[in-house]
Parts: sequence; C-alpha cells; structure tokens
Amino acid sequence: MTKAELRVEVFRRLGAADPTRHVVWSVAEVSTAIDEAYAEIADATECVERVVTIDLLAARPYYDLRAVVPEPVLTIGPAYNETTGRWLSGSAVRELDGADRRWERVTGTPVRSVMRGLSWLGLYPRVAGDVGTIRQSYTALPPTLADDDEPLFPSQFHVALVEAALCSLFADDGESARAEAAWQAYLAIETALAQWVADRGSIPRQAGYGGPTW
Amino acid sequence: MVTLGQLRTRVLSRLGDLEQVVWTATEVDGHLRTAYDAVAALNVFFDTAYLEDRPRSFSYTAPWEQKAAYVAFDAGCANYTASDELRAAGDELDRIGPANHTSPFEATEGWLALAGADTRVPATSVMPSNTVALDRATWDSKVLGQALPAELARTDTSYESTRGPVEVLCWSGAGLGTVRKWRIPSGQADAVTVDGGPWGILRRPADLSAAAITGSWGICRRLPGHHPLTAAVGPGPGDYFGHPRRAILDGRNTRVEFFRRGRPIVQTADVCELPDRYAWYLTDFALMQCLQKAGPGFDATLAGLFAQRWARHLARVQRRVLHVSRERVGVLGGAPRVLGSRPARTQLPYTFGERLR
Repeated sequence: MTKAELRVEVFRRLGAADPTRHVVWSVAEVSTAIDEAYAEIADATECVERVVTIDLLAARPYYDLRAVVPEPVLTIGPAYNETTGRWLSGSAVRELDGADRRWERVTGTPVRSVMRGLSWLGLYPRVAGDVGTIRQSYTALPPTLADDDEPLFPSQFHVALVEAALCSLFADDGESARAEAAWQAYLAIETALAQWVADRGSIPRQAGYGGPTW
Repeated sequence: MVTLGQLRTRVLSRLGDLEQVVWTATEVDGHLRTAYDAVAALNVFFDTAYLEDRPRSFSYTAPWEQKAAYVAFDAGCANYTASDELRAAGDELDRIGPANHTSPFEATEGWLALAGADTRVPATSVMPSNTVALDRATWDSKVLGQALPAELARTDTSYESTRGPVEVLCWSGAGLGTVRKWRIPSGQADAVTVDGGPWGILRRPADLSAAAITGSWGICRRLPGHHPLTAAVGPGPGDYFGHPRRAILDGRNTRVEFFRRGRPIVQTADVCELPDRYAWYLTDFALMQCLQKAGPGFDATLAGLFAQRWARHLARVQRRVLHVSRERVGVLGGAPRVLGSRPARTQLPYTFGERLR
C-alpha cells in the first residue's frame, strides 16, 4: 500500500472516509501519524539494512558514526576490510584489555571492531596512515514516505502502519480504549514482522528416508 | 536536532493543552529531563577525559562560582595554596586544594619549578561532574586495574604516598567524585612544547604531529591518535566546531573513558544530545507522567499505554548499547583466529566493569 492508500484506510477506520468529513483530523495530521508509525516499526524491527564505506584515518581511536554515516544508525553489523578482503570480528573492549594492556598503541591492519556507547566505533589494530577503507553494515531508519511510496517491508505487514497511526490519533483524542486496542493490534503485526526479518535466511529442516537433512 | 522546546510542544500538543491549563511547561520540562537522565543511565554517551598528571591548578575558589557560570576558564577549584594552611585558618573540612597556579602552562613550562613551588602531582583527581559510570582508565596508554582501598592497603600499606607508574585507579574512600591513583605519578605527563608564547592558536601542525597536512590553510580539525572533537550538537556531519585549546598527550598521563549525562536541556532552544529518533522517546515518558497526575487530565489507560512504549524504548536502547556482534571468522584449512592465545601477563586483578563491594 502506498502512503496515500494507507491514509485513505486510516480515514476509513476513523469513520471519515469522505474527504468532506475530515473535520477532526486533517490530512497532515494523519500523514504525520503514518510517518511516526513507519519510524516506530522500522526502529523496533530494524528491517532497513544498509552498508557504508568508511575511510580509515591514521591512529584514529574512535570513529563517530554520526559523522561518517550519512544517516542515523540504529545498530551496527559486520564490517568488511576492503584492503585485506577479510571480515572484522566484533569484540568487547574487555577482551582487548585482557589480551594486551597496551593494545591502543598497536598499529596495523584492522581485524576487530568495538563499539563504545551508541555512536563510537573503534578498530583494532589502528591503521598507521590515512589508507584503507572498511565496509560497515548497519540498520537505519527509512526515509520519509512520499504519497506514492510504499513501505520497504513486505505488503502483508503494511497494515501495521494503519494500526499504529490509529493508536496515535485515538490517544491524542483521549479515546483510551480504542487507542489501547489499536496498539495491541499493532504490536501483534510488529512481532510478526520482527520474526520475518529474523527468519529470512533460514530454511526448514527436511528429512527423508535415507535422504540428507538440510 | 531536537530542542527542548520542540519536545515540550509535542507533549503539550498531544495532551491538547498548549495553553497550559492543566499541565505547565515547567512540569513537562521536568519530566523530559528525568527521561533524558534515565536514557543517559543506560551508558549511551561515551566520552573521554584526562585526569592530568600535573600539579593541581585552580581558577576559582568556591564551587558556587562554577555553578553560577562565572567561571570562563575552568582550571579547578581550590581555596588554599600550601599544605600547612590546611588547619591554619578556618575549618579544615571547608578546605579545597591545595593548588598553587592558575593556568596549566605554569606547570608545563617550568614556571612552578623556577619559583620553587611544589611541583608534585597529587594522588587524587576529580571525575567530571556529569559522570554516570567509569568504564575504563589508562595510564601511558596502558589499561589500569581497579581496586578498593582495603585491597590497595594489602598490596601496599603506604599506598597513599607511594610514587611511581600508575597501575590502579581506586574510586572509593576519597570522596564521591574523587579517584585515587596508585601509585601516585612521580612526574608530570608529557606535554607539547609551545613555541612562541603561552597563548594563541595552533600555527604549526608539525608541533603536534608529523602527519601530512591537508590543504594550505584553515585550523586544526583532527590530530592522529587523538579523540575527535565531540559534536556540539548531533547527529550529522558538519556539526563540529571550535578549535582545540590544548593538546593533551597520553604519554605518562591518566585518561578515563566514561559514560556521562547528555548536554543539559534547560533553555527552550537547548538541543537534546540524543539522536533525533531517541530524543522523541522522551515525550512518551512525559506523557505517561502527565496522564498519571491526579486531576482533570488523569487517564490511567493512556498512561499505561505510554508506559509500555517507554519501557520498550528503554529496552531497545539498552540492547543496542550492549550489542556486540560476535561473528565467527574462519578460513579454509585454518582455525578461527583467537585473540590472546598466549598466556596472560602477570598483572594485578583486572576487574573493571564489575561492581566491587
């Protein structure tokens, strides 16, 4: 469903399908509610996956993801060293401290990555010069929908935006019970989408008489 | 960039009370700041600071001066200059210090020694006032251990006076925000030699780094090996501003990595340091609190709904902060690489990150 279609559905559920009956809720308010719902479901399910190339800088302790990634980052994923052709291993800084108390002075080709707080990405070892790049995967928020855009996730989950928008609008109108009902309906669809995102790469185990199992 | 004013307007708008009949702006702002601190307590704001191994300096004599924003240059607080003044005048408990100079250059350029003043480095330092949790500390780029005073006393009965390389940081027994270094640094940290006087801006990058210079004009934006300038507001590129005033080196210096509170949101135009998406989370907490208030706007059902949303947000942020991707890396015919396959070096117990009681 496009954003325009989602908006029509929201108005229908509000009992104001006829544009002449857009008295309580304006088109802008419903559009805003849909945008917020889209951000919420993308934030909860992390269904928007991206990759960015980060230039490595000499002896840089940490890279600020707010500066090197052109959009807000939700969670980082695996990183690939384009110079060596190897994937970096995600690590905790405690592991590095336990192995070498002066690991910060080691320079070389990065093989591990660490995260500090929400925004700071560190690499071990640190590169000695401004050379090399890594390809960092991450999850992000989707861009705001235009009227003829569809949400990036599969269409069977699009109705979640309707439910979340209704929850928001009913809450603003003080309709507590209807807001709660819409929220529970949204949560069920969000859970299903999260499950779909997590299980995308798996295949069912198949067994046959004397046959191989997957 | 989301401001306090935008957050407040969102909350009041959703409550239908922009005229502030039932809920006031002050009340809403208080809830937003409470939520802000709750998110900060999840260790989202990582930062580094130096507990410099230098003689103690001061630029104001009472803590209220700093709180009232009278301090333009914060070189520390002290109200006496020599140890023999501790009990000489007034109540010993009111003494802060001692400190004997008012600007770091006096210590780094040898003026203290020239004047015959005490150049010893103190054993204790004060953590930044906005600290939420201490994560890690290093001295001379070597990670430090953590210990309680009783453990230090078992290791060295003279731990309060022994000088030498720093091995352990003790954050207990010396004051709520005060950390003790063991051993006490025997000398000052490495410093940049400033040529041409103690003030001005960096003119020759070669003073600090041999790295190639990009371009032929401008100001120093980054130094290899140094923590980047923290964004004044975020997220997004181009938000860094300002010029480094002092280049602080790691050589023989104590650096702490800690989590702190976000930049204060007091005025309407103050920007919340959280990423925009997380900044809007704060409105759910404020809505929950406002709807729980007894009176005309009380709504238990809606308050419960926003409480659910707030709990989800907190859990989500916490999960992301703790997220470490453990990807198994292997090569054909080879074993997966394992860091630290050699025997551990003999060293003091390393218990950073664990709560010791």
